[in-house]
Amino acid sequence: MILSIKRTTYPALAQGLDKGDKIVVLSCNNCAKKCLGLGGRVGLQALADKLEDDGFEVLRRELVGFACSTDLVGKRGKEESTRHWFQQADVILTLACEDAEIAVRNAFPDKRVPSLSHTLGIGWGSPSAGIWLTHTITSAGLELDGPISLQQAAERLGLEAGSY
Amino acid sequence: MGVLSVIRDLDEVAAEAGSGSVAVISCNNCVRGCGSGGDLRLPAICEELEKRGVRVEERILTTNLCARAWMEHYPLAPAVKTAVVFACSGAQEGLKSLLDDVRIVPGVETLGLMVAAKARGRLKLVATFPGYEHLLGREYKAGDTTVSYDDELLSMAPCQELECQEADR
Repeated sequence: MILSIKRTTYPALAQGLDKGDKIVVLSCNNCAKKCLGLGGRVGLQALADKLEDDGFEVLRRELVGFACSTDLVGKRGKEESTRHWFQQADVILTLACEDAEIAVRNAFPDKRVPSLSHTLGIGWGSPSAGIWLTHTITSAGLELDGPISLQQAAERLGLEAGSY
Repeated sequence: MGVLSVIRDLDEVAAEAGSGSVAVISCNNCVRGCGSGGDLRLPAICEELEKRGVRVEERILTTNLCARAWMEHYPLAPAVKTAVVFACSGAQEGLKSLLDDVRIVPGVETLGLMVAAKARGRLKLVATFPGYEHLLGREYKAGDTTVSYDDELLSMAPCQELECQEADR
């Protein structure tokens, strides 16, 4: 699974938005779900609820099976049931890995898609053993001597893992 | 399905697997999209390994091998001392940590992370693991990553940084 952590903080994220922005929060339900709730339903609800509580206009909460697929993401802009929301949106907040952020920008080139995730690499996980980072990508800024937990990886970078 | 892996040469894999009982374990997520494992490829892979003399005792397909839980609940047959794994290197490490007495033989080579464009028949490598940096931006055939292209069909929008990123850190 691809392991990602929060690139920024909620206050910093909110500061980059205007109260007039129409927002779609799009969350990946595959790897990001397992990144201590960065994505999936948990991450989606956490961020969308906070934004609404702070007076932002969240048009749509969208869960995608694999957000790194331009086909699946692009479908949201074409299908009758979702097209309307995506057309209206100014910003798409993407709770997924960085490659999914690229896929979303590719599918919706006229929307703002801020970078919310810092993708570290890949690893494995289980409910009993936790989430472990085993291989880092070159751009992660982190070198490994052996597997480390996602939480430890975030601490080493001065960032946080989990939901916004 | 965001991890791009290519299938290794099966002659080499078979040689590394040796002559004992072997479990062939495949993920059905990312490697399925890459054609280097998954439900459509697993029967043919096993057949090819058997032709090369590998004794395939068990064939196991799981949806997400990197989520180790399924393997935690269903141990391999006691005779199996080698597992040939068609899943990303992260999932392979997960198996190594679980199966202390089983030798793990990688069936694939993991290059990096991809964006999938199935409708256009391509996968684009958008981040790489150390040693594969020269392949960054390369495109592969969806469903068969043994095929790569010299042209560029998938143009990806440049990264937009959050203006507020430096604030409140």
